[in-house]
Amino acid sequence: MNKKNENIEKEELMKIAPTLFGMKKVNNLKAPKGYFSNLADIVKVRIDNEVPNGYFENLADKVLAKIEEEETKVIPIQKRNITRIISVAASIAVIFTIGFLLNQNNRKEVVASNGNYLENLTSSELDEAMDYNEMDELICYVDFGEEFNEELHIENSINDIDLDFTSDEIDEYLSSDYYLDIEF
Amino acid sequence: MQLSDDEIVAQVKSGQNTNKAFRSLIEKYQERLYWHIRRIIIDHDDTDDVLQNVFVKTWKGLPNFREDSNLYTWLYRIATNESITFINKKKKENNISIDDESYQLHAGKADYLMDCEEIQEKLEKALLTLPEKQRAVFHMKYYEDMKYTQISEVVGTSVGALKASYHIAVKKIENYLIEN
Repeated sequence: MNKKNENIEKEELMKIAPTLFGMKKVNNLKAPKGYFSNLADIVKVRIDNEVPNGYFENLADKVLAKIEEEETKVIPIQKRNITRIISVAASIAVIFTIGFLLNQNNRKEVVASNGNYLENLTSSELDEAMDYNEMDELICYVDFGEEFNEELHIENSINDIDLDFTSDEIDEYLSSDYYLDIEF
Repeated sequence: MQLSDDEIVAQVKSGQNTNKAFRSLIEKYQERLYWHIRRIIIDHDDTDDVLQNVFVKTWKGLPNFREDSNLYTWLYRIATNESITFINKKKKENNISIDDESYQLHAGKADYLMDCEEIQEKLEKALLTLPEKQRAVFHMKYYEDMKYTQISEVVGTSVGALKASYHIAVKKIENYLIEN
């Protein structure tokens, strides 16, 4: 401001506001001690923590792009899941099939081995085997199933009974209740 | 050594020594801007908030700063706008009419007047009756001896309108001082 203008303004002020013109220009406000010594650091911290310029302008686009990206990723993941499920199911099916087939083969082998065993027996051996006293032993070697074994046991038990009776003894026995105690 | 305004702008724009240049800007203008804002807002804590906002906005805007105006007036413009926006927002929050110029008195922020001379206390109270923009103009002209052309750049008003505004402000204060 040049001197001339300054004087004009001072004169104006003196004319319109003599009280104000006569007052000292005093600052009655006070700033806390040391306030200005660290303001630059405080502002720096604020700037560092500030949201970057234009962040919110592009935020919607970024979010939509991310959602789209996620959705496109979801399709292959689902497909991959189906593939996994199919793979697991197929593996289980294969395991069961193998298990079943092995079981079948084992049964065939048992039957076959049993068949071969009987075929290979000589007639004397068969006679020996037919000896009722050794029938149990034979049953131990050949397992024809529970039903057949049961029959063999019953038959064996019957054969074990001493049949050397006189006709009188039989009559007496039948007329009495003792036969009820016979255990088969 | 303090950098000149041109050096500060050039360094920030070039991306070299940006932090150092900006620190230099803060240290150069912090006190002047503080008192400018404080004259409008009065309360220190509010002034502190607004001043920090001013520097953050300056940091963001400086790379795009067009050098058709001075850095000095550009900073004052940001500070004035931020201060007026802050006061209007606060008035809305406290349900105080925008036309109520003595909002600081209502808000109980005139404690600083306790220790000053009676005539100074009257002057401060008279200043509080001015609208914020008029108070800012009065402060820049009366206390800072700024040219009308500079103030015109800061507040975006013609020099003629500014002269009229300052004249009205001075008359209001004078009347207040006489009547009270």
